[in-house]
Amino acid sequence: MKAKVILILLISGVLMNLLIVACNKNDVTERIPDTDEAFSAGINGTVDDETSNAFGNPIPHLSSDDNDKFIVGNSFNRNSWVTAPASTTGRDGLGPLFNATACASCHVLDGRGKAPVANEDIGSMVFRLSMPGSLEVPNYGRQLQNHAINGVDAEGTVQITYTEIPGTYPDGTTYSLRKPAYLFTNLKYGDLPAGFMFSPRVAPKMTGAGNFDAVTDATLLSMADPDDTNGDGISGRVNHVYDNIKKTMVLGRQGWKSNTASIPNQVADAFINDIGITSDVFPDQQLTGTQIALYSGLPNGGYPELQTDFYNDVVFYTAALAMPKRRKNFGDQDVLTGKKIFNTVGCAKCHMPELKTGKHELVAQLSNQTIRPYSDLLLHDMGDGLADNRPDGEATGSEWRTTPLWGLSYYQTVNKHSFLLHDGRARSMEEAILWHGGESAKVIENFKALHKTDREKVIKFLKTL
Amino acid sequence: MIVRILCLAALVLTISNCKKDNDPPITGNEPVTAQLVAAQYATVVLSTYTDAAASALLMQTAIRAFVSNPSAETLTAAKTAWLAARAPYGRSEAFRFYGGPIDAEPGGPEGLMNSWPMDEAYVDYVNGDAGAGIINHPTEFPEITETVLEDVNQTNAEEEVSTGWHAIEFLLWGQDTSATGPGARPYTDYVTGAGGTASNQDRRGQYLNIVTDLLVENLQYLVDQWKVGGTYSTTFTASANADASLQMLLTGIGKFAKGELGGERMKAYITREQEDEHSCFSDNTTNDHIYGQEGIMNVYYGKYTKLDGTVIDGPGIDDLVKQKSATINTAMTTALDEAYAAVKAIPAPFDQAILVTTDNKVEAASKKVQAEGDEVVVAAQSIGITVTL
Repeated sequence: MKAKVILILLISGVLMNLLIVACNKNDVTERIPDTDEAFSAGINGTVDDETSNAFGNPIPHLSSDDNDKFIVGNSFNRNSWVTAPASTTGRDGLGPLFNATACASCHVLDGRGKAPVANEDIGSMVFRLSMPGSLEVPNYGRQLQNHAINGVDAEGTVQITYTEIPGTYPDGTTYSLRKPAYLFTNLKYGDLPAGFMFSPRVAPKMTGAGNFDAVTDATLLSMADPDDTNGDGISGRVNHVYDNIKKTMVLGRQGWKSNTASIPNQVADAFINDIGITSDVFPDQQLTGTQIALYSGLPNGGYPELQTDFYNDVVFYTAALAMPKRRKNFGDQDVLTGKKIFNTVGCAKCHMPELKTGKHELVAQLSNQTIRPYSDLLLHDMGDGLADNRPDGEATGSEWRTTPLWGLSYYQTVNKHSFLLHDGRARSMEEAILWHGGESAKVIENFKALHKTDREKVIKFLKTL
Repeated sequence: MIVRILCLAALVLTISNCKKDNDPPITGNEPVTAQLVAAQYATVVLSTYTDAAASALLMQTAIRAFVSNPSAETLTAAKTAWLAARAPYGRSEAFRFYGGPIDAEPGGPEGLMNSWPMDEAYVDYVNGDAGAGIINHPTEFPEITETVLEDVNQTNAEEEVSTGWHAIEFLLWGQDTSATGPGARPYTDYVTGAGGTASNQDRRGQYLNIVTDLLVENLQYLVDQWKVGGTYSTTFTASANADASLQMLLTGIGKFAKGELGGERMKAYITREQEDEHSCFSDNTTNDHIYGQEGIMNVYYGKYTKLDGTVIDGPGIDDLVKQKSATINTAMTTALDEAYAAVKAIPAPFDQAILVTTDNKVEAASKKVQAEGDEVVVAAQSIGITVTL
């Protein structure tokens, strides 16, 4: 009896092999996905969700207590803050100056902010301000707040206009890129001083960022090549930034220029600068001299306005947001070919396909994972076209952190738009690629020189991320 | 012998579609199969949505009557119709969370129907801001149409909800500023001309009618998807998809219990914020919770009591689980019973129940409902199905 069973199994096995071959006919150079490739943020950090809530899930297997923290954190991330005093005592203290009334006003459904439309409100974008040698602009501080509570003057707003710049691929295919220009208007606290610098930044998605806190210094430094000693034209530098919680200088991992230390710093920073909500980390409003004189007597929402346990919950929530899995066609031959081209033309030199995380201090499950963010989290010179000309920490005015590409295909699903890059100027993935300059100029030349169908395969690959 | 049949059957399946398939049932004398359960589920879903659509139609009639002739009586009738329609809809929420017709992307209307919490100032005036909302911004929104309202629903911010049950609720009840009762919007907010309160009464009426129409249409869409021969139900109930369908419906109730009903909907006992209350304008939240729990039970037992009293009863997950393990089925039914009792024990209004400092019934219910979600994973496992919450 036993022998018969084994025989049948053997026969089945042979047949199975035949079937596999049959299924792959006409493709002798079949490409196969990497092990667990679909799990962008590792097995522990990835979920299966292709709905508009794709960015809003907790990582799997949270304990009941952590699940509660996630839900409460979500509530404080999503719900609007109101002017103090109010009956909703846990959520009052908005402003006096602010950009948005809730985190989710810009990070809609934990996703990416909407690109501003020409001549309309700047929406889910902020403008960081500074002077040469100082992170503060007199009378305006570090960021332009374009909203204020009743009785308070908003600092001003920005009008955005776009100019089309035509371009051509070597094969003759034409394209057009739009370059933004900014005009600061309605300025209520005097003129902006000559020589002031600004950096327009659209709210990036929140999901995935938590994993970066677990990428070790050693890993970041091992990828860095500040003097381009390997001569590949790509440098890659770390940013050293002040950690407002650990009270020391650390390597930056978060933000458009790796200008923020960690999620706990990022959350506190966003609450104070974007919503005007104080926390243990930033107990004072970031008002300038004139503003303090005018508004320091206004009612506030308590000390701190964001209760410490709720702050911790928002931090946990942000860190524990799960990445959606790669799109179901991630293993299609065209997609895998696109991925290979992505590597061979050089995109993957900075958009690093795979990183290993170390210990995560807040979310144990995110420790020691193989993640596929398609970023090295390092600073690279992106050329004049993308430069904001505003240094941030050790980042120069033309350097940006390699934007993680994971979740790219979900912006359309979650946020209903296709705009990319720090200021939302790119209307498509293709335009975002074509804007790359500086260190990446050679890579982009390689991309442009590709056959049209190969360029399309790269895009097809990106649309599975 | 059994092994040989298994291998051959598996091969036949493999040959037919060039990919791995799950094994067919091993023995031939089981009364209840995954396919029968999936089919009964589809019947329960259809009956629930049919009731929800029918009740929403009654609500639409009542709302039209109110808008065209605003009075205290017609407003009360509209509110009563809203409350009645919430019962079948609440029982349908157990059909979410697996990308079925309600929340598939693209096309699933859930976000247009039941988004919450809602920033009411996005739609209409609030205390302290008489000019707030789409209704009071005729320049930016010269025309109020279904397309306009759909386009601006949650587009710029998660709480900027322009459509669905809670938009209608707010337009009928208004803000709830009372500790003991619900919101008390005067019917005169809809009176144009003499005696009218607030401004833009005509636009408010137009808005209310249009969001109601949209809700009715979306419910009808769900009925169409699930009706016998409907696009979705045909796929869902096909024998080849039986296990996949079972996996989806179990994931649905598990996620709904753990993450939504026991989670998002009840954690207000921690934040102590009325903003975290589901139906915060009408104070109907305690009923929402009961309906939601009933929906979970309907799915597990494959049973539904229609609004006309007819009972639909057929093969449920309980039958499948019982065949594998009576113990696990008992654990599941106990979890269901305990969750149901705990949810019914929450005293109304919910916005006061969350503030209780000792023996908080919301906390107790939250934990029981979440435990019920965890038990779904165990029950699913017993019948060979992996559910990840």
